[in-house]
Amino acid sequence: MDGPILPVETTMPSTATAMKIVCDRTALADAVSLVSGVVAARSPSPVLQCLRITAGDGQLRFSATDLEIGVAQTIDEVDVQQEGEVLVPADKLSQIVKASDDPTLTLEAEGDRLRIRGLGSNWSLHGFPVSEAPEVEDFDESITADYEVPAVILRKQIQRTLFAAANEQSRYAINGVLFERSGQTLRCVATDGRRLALSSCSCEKTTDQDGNTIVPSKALQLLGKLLDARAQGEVRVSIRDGRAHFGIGHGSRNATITSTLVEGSFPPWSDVVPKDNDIHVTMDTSSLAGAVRRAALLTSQESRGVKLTFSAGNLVITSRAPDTGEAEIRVDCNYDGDELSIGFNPGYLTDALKIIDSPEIILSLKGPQKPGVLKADGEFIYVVMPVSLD
Amino acid sequence: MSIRPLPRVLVDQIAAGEVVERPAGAVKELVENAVDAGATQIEVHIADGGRSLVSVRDNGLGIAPDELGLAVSPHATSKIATVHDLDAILTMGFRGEALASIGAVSRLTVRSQCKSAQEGGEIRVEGGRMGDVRPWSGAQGTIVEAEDLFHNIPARAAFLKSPRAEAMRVGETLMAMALAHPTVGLRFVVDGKQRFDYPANEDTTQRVAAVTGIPVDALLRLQAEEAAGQLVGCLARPEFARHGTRGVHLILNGRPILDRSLTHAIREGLRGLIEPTTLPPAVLWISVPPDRVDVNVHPTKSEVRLRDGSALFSMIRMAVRRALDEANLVPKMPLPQQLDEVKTAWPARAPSNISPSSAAGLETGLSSSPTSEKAPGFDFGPVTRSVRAVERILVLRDSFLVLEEADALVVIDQHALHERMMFERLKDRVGQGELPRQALLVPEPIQIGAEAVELLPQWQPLLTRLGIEVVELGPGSAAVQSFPVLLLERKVSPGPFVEDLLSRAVSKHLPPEPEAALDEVLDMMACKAAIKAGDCLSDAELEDLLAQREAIERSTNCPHGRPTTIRIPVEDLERRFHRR
Repeated sequence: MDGPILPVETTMPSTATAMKIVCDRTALADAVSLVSGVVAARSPSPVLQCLRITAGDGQLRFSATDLEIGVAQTIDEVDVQQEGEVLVPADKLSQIVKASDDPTLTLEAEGDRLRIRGLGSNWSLHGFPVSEAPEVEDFDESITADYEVPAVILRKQIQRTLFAAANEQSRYAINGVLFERSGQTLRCVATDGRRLALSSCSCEKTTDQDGNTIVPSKALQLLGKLLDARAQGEVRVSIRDGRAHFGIGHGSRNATITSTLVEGSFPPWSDVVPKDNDIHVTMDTSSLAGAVRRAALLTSQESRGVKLTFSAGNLVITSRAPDTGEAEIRVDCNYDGDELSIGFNPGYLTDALKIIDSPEIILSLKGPQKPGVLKADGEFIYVVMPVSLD
Repeated sequence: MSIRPLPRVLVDQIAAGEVVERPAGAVKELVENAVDAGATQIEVHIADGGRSLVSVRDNGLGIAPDELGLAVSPHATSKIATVHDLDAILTMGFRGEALASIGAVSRLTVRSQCKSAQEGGEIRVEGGRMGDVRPWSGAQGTIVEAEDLFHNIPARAAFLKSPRAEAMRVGETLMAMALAHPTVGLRFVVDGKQRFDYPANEDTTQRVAAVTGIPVDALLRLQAEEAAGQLVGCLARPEFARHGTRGVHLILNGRPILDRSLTHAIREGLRGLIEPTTLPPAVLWISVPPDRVDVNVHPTKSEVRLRDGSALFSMIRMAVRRALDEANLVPKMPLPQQLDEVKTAWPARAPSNISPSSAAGLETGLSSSPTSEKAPGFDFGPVTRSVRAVERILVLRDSFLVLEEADALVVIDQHALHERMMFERLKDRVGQGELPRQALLVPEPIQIGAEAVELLPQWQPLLTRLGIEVVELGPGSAAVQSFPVLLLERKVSPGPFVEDLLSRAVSKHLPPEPEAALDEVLDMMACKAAIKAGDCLSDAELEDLLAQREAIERSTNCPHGRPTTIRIPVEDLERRFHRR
């Protein structure tokens, strides 16, 4: 990155921090909201709840970190009148920028304060000395990335797996998404122990080293949001020094997310994906999704489960909540075997069905107590364990 | 060494040892005899902890002079003539050994005036040797005096505790007897000083209150009648619960008994309102047909064998539940305790999230004292209904919900209340069939030890009901294959939960009976699944929780027995602010 990022240790004279910029408010709001995403809601250190703004070289850089994940983003919808830096509370800045209805805002740093001016509004926000902010890295362009994936593809990979990742304290290794790269193939895998989502794509190999990395969910949430906003070009991925580095864009419109990795070994996913499911039903994605959602209306927390009963040409989804009532939803399908019933947590089915963008899915089954598999467009595999219902 | 028959005296001493281990044992036997003799007034005097004197005087039928000799002989009794009569024992001292036993280990004098006889008689027994019957005259009834207890058994005497401790034991025994026979007057004097005097023909609740020291209005009445037996009783409110079972008195056909199963029935009825190791004082008078109980199991007759144990168990449990349901169970805090709690639990300065305006609102609410504004005779209804009167909720440290009710300030522990709610819902759901269980993608290995692995087959039926499937992997290790959907939704991890559950089973922290263990395991589930103190609840969640509070029967305590709700009545606040 070629911005004038000064080393943290440098003690700058007060005039050096006296930044002054005029910025497009929408671009400012987007950047602030995105980078604020990393800030911990509850942190013992107020500095970790701050956003660092650096103006220089015709661009504005925003950065923040929770010490595990660092996010930095630059925007160029800005007129830098005086270069400088400021460190201010992220939530207040975000609220101010959102509440304003001015097309542009003027930001001026005065010592540790940030003055924000619109047409009739004037805020002066107390901040902290910039020297207290932990350093947030930018993607190191001098090092060759391990591989590159088009931003749209990586975004899809994240969408298709992150939802299935665990959020548990006891099984740390699955609190993230496995990035497994072998040659030109990148597989992303996530599981919470009850279902497993696997999405494959091809990637541009830039080094020969294959590798398995578990990236924490929070980093991928941020990366997903960043890619929603900037789904262009390639994302460069580099794993080094025990951290994952994602570099998006170049020059004055770049962004970087770096993250620690999840320690531990990810469960061997290939053992989990059943190979002997011999009942295959092709179904319309949206009608199955709708039917499951309708049946799920009458389940309760104590009885979360819908029963799928297949008979010739027919699928009936039933549910029962002891105190509320029962539901029965009928869907057409091309099933032609003996009657077969299997229970699932409806939430697990809808989670997957809503991220599948192909019109048809294939549901593969073996028996009522065996895992079911949803497949879509040859790249997405979703294994879901059944629920036993009375 | 040759084998010889034991001398007679020694046989009596050995027999005595079974019944009369200490003064309290002698007192119990003598008082039971007095009750059997139809006494309505009994006086017990002891001196030197009962060692130098145990004296029991009654106004019962008395013993005719010509029967006195027989009365102090072993296995002599007026109560059983044939073996068949053993089946229909309703009196206490049927074993006919009390007087003989006491006579064998003390200097015993029995004086009695029989109603039918002209003249009374007196007999002395010393070291098991009987003296002659001499004439004696006194009021109708019997006086038994045992002096120098254990003077001829130094080994036994050496085991006696201090006079004070022995006197306490006698006192406890007599209190139990006073509860067993609430209509009999009982007076107890130690070294010339009266310890208590319970009048005859007292109301049973009055008697329980006098003996236990619990106010009459804190005693709930128990009543039930079924084929297996009848029950009347008094149960102190749950807030009087104390550790152990000493406060529980079971009286079966007029006889104080110990019975773990029936005691457990009380605890089951109280489930959720007390901590599992505690019980509030309770007195239960149970009558069953004499042929349905075998009392001749143990010399002190404190343990019996019941033929309809399980029917009595459920009768007691249901009677306790009924009484609790009928009572308003929200514990009212006594004033001094409240002061202490406020001092320790609230910070010295006002919590920052009480804004001045809400504090002001609080004050107006108090000064306009809703109680004084009540129309005379208007009933605000039971407390559990008045949630609708809630106007504002203060959330303290994301843990406590403070609400205003018509006549009180109510503080709710959000975790405890939610836990209670989960427990009721789980229990309800389990009653309708197995909990839905989610199969796990990869069985979760657990290290539980060989003992727990051995227990698995025994526990599997219960675990299956709860939606848990565990398979044995090898010595000391197993794997969780399925786990209840509900717990997974509440983010409870299978491995640690099942490990915890099985280690409790191994360490006998869970009752062996499946029905009782079910509730304990549901407790565990509810606790793990419930929202925690410190969880910030959304408005919707708060509303849901409080709405459920109304619906939950007995929602005043969480399953661990911690209270869910504390009410501070407005009168208490007024008293604290010296408005009363």
